[in-house]
Amino acid sequence: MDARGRAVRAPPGWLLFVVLLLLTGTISSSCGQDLEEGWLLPAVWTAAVTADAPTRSRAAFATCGSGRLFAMPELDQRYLGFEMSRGRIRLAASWQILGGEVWRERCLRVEAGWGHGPGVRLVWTRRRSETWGVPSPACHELVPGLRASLGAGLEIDVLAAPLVLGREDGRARRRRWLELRGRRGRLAWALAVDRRRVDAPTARVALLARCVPGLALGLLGEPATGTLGLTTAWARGGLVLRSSHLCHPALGITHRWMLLLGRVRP
Amino acid sequence: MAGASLRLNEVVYDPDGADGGREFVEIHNGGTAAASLAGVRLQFANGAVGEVWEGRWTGGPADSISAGGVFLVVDQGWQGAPPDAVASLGLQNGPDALRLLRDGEVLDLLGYGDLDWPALYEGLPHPGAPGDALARRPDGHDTDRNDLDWHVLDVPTPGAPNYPAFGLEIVEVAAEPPNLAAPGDAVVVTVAYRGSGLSALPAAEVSLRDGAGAELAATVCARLEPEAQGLVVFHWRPARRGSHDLHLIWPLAPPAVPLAVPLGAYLCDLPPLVLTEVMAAPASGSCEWVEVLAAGDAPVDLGDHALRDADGAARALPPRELAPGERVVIVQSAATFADWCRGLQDSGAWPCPRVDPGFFAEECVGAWPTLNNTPPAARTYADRVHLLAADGTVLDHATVGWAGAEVAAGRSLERSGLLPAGHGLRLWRASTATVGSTPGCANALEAAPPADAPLVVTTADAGVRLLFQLHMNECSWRAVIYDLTGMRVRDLGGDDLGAGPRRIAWDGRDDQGRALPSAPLIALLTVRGADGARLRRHKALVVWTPGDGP
Repeated sequence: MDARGRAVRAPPGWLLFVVLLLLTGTISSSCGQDLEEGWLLPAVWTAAVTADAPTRSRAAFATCGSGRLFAMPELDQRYLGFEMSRGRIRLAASWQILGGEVWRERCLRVEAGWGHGPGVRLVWTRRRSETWGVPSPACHELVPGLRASLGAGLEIDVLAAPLVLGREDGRARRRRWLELRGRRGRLAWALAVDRRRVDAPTARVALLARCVPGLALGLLGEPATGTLGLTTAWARGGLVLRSSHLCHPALGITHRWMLLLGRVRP
Repeated sequence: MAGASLRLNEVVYDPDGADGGREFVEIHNGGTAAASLAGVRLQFANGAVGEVWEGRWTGGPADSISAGGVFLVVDQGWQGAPPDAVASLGLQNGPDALRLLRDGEVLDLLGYGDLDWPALYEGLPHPGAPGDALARRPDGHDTDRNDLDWHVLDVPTPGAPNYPAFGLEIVEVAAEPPNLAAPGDAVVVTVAYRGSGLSALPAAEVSLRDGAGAELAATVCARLEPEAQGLVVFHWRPARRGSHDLHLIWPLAPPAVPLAVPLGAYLCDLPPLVLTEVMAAPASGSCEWVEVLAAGDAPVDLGDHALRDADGAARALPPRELAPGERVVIVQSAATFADWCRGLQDSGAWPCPRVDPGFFAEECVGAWPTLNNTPPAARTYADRVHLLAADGTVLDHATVGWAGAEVAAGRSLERSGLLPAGHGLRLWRASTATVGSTPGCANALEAAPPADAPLVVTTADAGVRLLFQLHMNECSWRAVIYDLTGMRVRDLGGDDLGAGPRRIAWDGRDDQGRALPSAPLIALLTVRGADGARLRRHKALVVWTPGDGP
């Protein structure tokens, strides 16, 4: 059932199979190391699980956050964003700065979606980096995707190869292939499969569980790099504060913080 | 003779090496119309014999010179500029004389060397120019004074004007500091010059440019008369690593092209061979010495380098191939140094591994550039050691005896690291070793970790390099490159050779040998002790751009 009490119809199995076959080997992209990578679960899912709200609900919230990759001052992150979904329409935008004096990347990301069982997504990303203050040409990417509900609280996102508009900066970045997530009661989980430029797919998995009303704890791991860490979420009223503390076995800990202000309601 | 239009204009009578095929005589027509050379004779007189003229060449009916032009007579076997006539010149090396003769009339006469016969010269003979050319300045200028009309020309100009209309000769170039290990500091380039052309150089904004033509600095210079001297000072802050070929550019009004005079190369980078220790005030029983280190990642031939102090000439270093990381001590006296070393080794006070000094001490090929210990009146420091490349480029330098860097007798000046450790710390400081110095082994100051920048990453044209050093109690290191997602990209390996500086090159490829696209990456350095325990770990951002690779 969806938020309005209508029956959710899963797409035919053969359709998903065909789509996945067609997209096998393709890649899509996001900002280099998004702040959201620290949780893997979308912000709306974190808020919903922590506040005990339905996952697919009307939502409108703004986010801001910060982080520091591997405790390196040269890799500070700043993040601003908003997201709203109403009915079948979903809109989101974010602005992120990663880096410092030596190297800095500014990334603007706008996402629009329609429908959710199945639905389509379109993500436009504009990145511009600078080295020692000397800017490089901007790189634009357009990534189409499909989102489908599989029933029983499962949701899948499949992202296609990016259409590069203008200059391709050639940078090896985390490129999302598919995301599978599910929720059952107070527990939510996510599995993301990434494709790097030439390497084999790598998987990341996240788990979030509501311990007491308004407080959730989670785990996030990436076997390929040996990264493992803890995530937390705390919700009160229209405010959700979530944090991520991921430990890389060689490079050290990455701390991230994000504040959500808005409402998630049935 | 002043009324005649034909003159001897340029002569090479004693070229470097064998004379055959390299001698020439240039004749100039200073008249307003073309002149025939039919019947004109070029004669030679041996100054040791007297006024006995021997014919060398006689003009034929077809030989002529246009107004203002020159006629080139060369020796047989000539390989240079196209001649107008070839003859057996056979000029002796002086004191001798040459003259031009037509119908018994002497058109011109040149005597050079210590001549006793007044008939063999005009006014006074020119002292001569063995190995160079004798030339009139300007072409055809004649006051019947050989000693004043003729000038010595380093580079002969057969068939061409002796002196350009506009010329600039560099008298001296000095840079302060003489080199930089990395961009950041300002450099003061002082150029002393002299007008070497026939006309005055106009007042202009003179610029300092690099080999690619980019302007580095500019300043206004006053009008410069011929033969006058001038001085210009440029303030320049190098923006990139590497060797900069400097040129002084003096603009001229069209159609004349600007003068571009090379000033030599300025190094703003860590050279493959660096100075690491200087003993300018040795203790009794020892001698002066300078320690150098092969700091690059390839072998270095010591013989391709030279040492020079602040006042003296360059002294060649002995040939010896240095492996990366190898140190050699250049000593004033090998015997004295060896005795001093062995004495300390026998006493147990020697701060380094016990190695026979014959393995790491070398004497200069030429005389030792004795170092001052107190500043002379003209400067604020006692002396300065320059390490020079084969082309004279200053690769490295160390200044001794300046305010704040006084060094007591028996104590050396040590380099604390490859690069300055921080703004508050000097690169060179007095050695803290118990015996006052550490010749042939890691400096005492290197035992102290630098205040900052323990891992330096450079991405200049020469490629990506990791610079760091292991200190006294450290045994091994390992460096790995990661991408921003934490995935390992390249294992750069390591070694367990103990203390000392390291300079690791990375070619921008991953572990599978694939070239990486442009990306920010993370270099991780792990240093371990002899027991394998991790002592420290450093991370640094590597902004990799294809094309940086070696």
